[in-house]
Amino acid sequence: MDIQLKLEVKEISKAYGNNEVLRRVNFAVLDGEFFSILGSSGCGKTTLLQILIGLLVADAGKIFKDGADITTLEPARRGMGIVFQNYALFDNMTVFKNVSYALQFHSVDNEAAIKKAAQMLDIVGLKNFSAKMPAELSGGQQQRVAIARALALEPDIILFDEPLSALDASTRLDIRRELKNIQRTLGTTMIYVTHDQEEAFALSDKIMILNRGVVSQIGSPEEIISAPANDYVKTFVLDNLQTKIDSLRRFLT
Amino acid sequence: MRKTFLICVAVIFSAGIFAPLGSLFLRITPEGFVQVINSPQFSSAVWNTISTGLIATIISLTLALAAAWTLERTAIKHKNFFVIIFGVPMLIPSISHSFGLVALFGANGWLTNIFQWNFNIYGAAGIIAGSIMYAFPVAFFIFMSVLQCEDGSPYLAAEVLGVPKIRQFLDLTLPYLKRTIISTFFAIFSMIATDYGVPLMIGGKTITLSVLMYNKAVAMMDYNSGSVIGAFLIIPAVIAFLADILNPAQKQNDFAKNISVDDKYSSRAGFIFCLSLSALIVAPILTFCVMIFAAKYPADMSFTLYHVMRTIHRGALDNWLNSLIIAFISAGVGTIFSFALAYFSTRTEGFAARIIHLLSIFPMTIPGIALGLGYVIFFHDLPIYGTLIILAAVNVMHFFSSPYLMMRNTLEKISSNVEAVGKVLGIPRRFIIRDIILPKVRFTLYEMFAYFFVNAMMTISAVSYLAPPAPKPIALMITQFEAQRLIESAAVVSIAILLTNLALKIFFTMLNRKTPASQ
Amino acid sequence: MNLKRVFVAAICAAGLLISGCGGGTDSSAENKTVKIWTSGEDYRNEYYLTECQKKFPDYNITLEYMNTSNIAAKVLEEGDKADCDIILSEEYGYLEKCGDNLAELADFDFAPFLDDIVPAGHKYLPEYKNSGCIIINRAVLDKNNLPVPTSYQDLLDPRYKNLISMPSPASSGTGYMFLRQLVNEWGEDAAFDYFAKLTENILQYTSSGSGPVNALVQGEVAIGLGMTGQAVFEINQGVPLEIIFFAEGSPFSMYGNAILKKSYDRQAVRDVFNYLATDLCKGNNEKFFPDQIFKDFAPTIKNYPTNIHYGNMKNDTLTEKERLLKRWTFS
Repeated sequence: MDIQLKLEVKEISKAYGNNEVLRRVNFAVLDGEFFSILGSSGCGKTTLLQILIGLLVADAGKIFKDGADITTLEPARRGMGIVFQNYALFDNMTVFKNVSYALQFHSVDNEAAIKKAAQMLDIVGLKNFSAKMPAELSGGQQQRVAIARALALEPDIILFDEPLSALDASTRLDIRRELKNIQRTLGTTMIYVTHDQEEAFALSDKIMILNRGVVSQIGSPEEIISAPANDYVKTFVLDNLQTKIDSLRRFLT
Repeated sequence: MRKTFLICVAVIFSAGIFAPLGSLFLRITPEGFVQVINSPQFSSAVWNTISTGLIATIISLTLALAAAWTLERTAIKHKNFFVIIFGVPMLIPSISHSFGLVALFGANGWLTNIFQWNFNIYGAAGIIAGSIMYAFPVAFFIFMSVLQCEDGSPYLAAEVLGVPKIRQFLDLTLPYLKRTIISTFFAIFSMIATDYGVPLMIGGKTITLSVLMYNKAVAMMDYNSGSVIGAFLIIPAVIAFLADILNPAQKQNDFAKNISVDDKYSSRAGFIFCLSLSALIVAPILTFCVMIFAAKYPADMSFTLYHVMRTIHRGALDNWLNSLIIAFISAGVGTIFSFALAYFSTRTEGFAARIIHLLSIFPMTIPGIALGLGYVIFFHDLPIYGTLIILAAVNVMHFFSSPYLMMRNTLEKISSNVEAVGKVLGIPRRFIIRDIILPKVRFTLYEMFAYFFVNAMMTISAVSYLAPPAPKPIALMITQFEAQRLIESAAVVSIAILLTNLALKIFFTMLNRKTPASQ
Repeated sequence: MNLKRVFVAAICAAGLLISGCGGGTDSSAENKTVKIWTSGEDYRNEYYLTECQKKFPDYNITLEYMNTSNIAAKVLEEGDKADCDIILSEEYGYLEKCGDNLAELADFDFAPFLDDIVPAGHKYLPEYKNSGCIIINRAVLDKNNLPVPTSYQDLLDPRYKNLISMPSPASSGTGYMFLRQLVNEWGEDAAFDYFAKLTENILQYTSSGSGPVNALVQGEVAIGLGMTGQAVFEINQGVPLEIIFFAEGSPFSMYGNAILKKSYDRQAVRDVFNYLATDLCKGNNEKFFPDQIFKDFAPTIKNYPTNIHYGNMKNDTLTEKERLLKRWTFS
């Protein structure tokens, strides 16, 4: 087995009544990889994410992390963090408290917690915002708090559920850059759920395209562009990207 | 944990609602049923209940909608003043409204004497007037809150397109309010039809079903006839309940835009309308304030403390203290219990959550006068009978649904990802509730506490069966004074209840101001 | 945090108060507590309570008003669990009905009372004879340009519509005695016919016997069928009411006092009862209800009618009452 294999997902299926949301999904994520799950809304990507983190239970299939079966492990014991689209910050706590709050439940002493939170806020560039309340921050800043909060517990995988879709274009670019930086500095494996092709292609080492609960293709951006596995990948992913490129080209030439 | 919770809820609802209600229905015998519905009083009571109830409901709704629209949609001055005044009648028992009407419009009433009127307020007219006073504020606050939530963008569009204001009201506002109007109509009708306070005092010979039930079950302790009438009184409430759940609320638009003040125009007619309504609402209370210090209202207006002292001597102080204890227990226990159920029904998934929700809104359908009778029949031989505990318990169950819905509304606005984050970060749920949810819902908790407190303080329905003769809840002194037609003492007690409730409201208002909103 | 503190404080306070109020486990306090249920009028209750508290300052005496039928129903429903030691001012018929729950008053003296009002089983002592009359508020009559009525038939005049008050016979003993008397005088059908018509003119049937006089005092009605004693009390307070009688005479009924079986052996209860049944009973006779009940005591009260012609009150039994009330559908 490859020594670098971080997460292995085998034959995951999930249905709500007669509605099959995920069918026999298989994929593997390497250590330190930036892995995107790309699909239009309703393709099952959020359900998959919730199964990975343990908020939902799959009907069938197994999940291995570092070779160990974590399929039925509680969310908090999987060593993963999560960042939601709507941040889900504790808005009655300061930015600092948001980041440090959970540490007390992991036998981290007070002093260490303070140090840790400060360090995380530094990483996401919010050192000077510690005493602010979430409501006083911009959307991008709030999302950074959510990232810092997830990082504080030192997870080796962080999951992102469409984290940038509520933000404006320039903030998105900023945070994209920052995510890459964090990935590089901390070496954290990142699993990133999005419906935005451009985002996925710009950030990812590897992309998995999900269509109606079924995996269409897994590969590096280059592989997908050079050899789309089927019509869906061609129309949904590549044609869309082409349109964007074409519209920009008008101004560039 | 989850299992224990569900078992506790099942036990509480069985003992607090279903067993008493079942005992009430089991008390009905075929002979008793036939005897009651064949009596001449019964058919006329049904007719009186429906006719006065319908008229009062329609007028209350019309006035409430007009007042709410004027305050919400025109640039009226002193808006907050009007909102406070319109809320005052909700702080005194229903029966006090009819004492107020007698003091003003009775044969020897203040206004009757001034204007030398010669008409009779007793009977259907009095019931309708009193019921409007009792129901108007409830309908008003429902319309206010719904109008506040309406999306302003269609109005902007209409304004730009040059649609006149009246057409905006008819084509945008009314369709938007349709559902609220329907469900409020049934709710208000059932509220009026099941109240006995107003018609008891001022109904004259016009006897409604609720008064008939009161006369049979409370005054004469004829529980068999009372059970039959009680079963009938549940009907309007069940209709209201069905109207509500079969007519689900439309989803709030996330992008709703507030209706901006710039678009509002000021209207002199609206101001005069609200001012006259306020005068009508305040008049009985002011009359009470004069009456309790007048030697012999209205003939001899010299100042005296005689009525106050006499009312105290009749046990008002002990009863007031007793009410205060009951109100605090009901409010404390009720708030915790309704929070727990609202939390469970909104923030957990699955079948149990839906059942809990249905259970929680079910108590709305049971009129207090019927629930109280069920309690008497069911709890009669148990040791808690005749204690404060049972009075607090019946209050919690009786008034449970509204605070539950308040909390549910608030909790639904909090992202469910908060719990997900807690799970992923390994924060135990009780800490999530304590450190994140509770601080966020603090104001709703205050509101719920106040709701339980105020209602426990002024209820005369369920407790009228359960209260021991002394000390009893102070509001029940008013029904006793009704029997003896002691209007001054009733006024003293009404004002005491009003002041107590006002004090609590002011306390919470100050608390809210001191701690700024976290949201 | 703030919130939690408020709730915890509120609940602790409530808990303390309950334990404080319900703290009747102290046996000496329990022994000195005397609970009285009465259907008496407000001002008489005041008199009884004040005098008892004066006489027995160490006792914790409470007095609670309920209407006559309610007291009986509660005693019968709750039996020995009833939160009551002494029943005061209850109608004979109802006392008779509660007989099984009442102690035989072997240690109390029945001798001073007129023989014909002493009950056979000695379960209750006579307290007063409540007699009824027609009371008018002349100011209200004048305001409406109406004459003083002179007979029951006059009261059917449509001009008196909504100006007459009467207690409901179903819930008030006073209301019932008017019905009883007219049934005796005119026959049952004629009497019920009469009330069917009178109902047209009645503003509201009050549930308490003291309702009509209070309504007259407030000027809400012009004519009341009420208690002579209460009307005189108000007249002597300076309220301009007048008492009249119609040809049929004054209806009356007897009221008495009793001790519940379960409380008979408690000294405090006996002390209070004895005081109520002797000195205070005389006082009541002297101050409020001067109709004669004692063999050698015939008090007079200012403005109280003398030489009352009492009406025909035969068959004033509870079974008769229950039968008549089944037919009563006007309130």
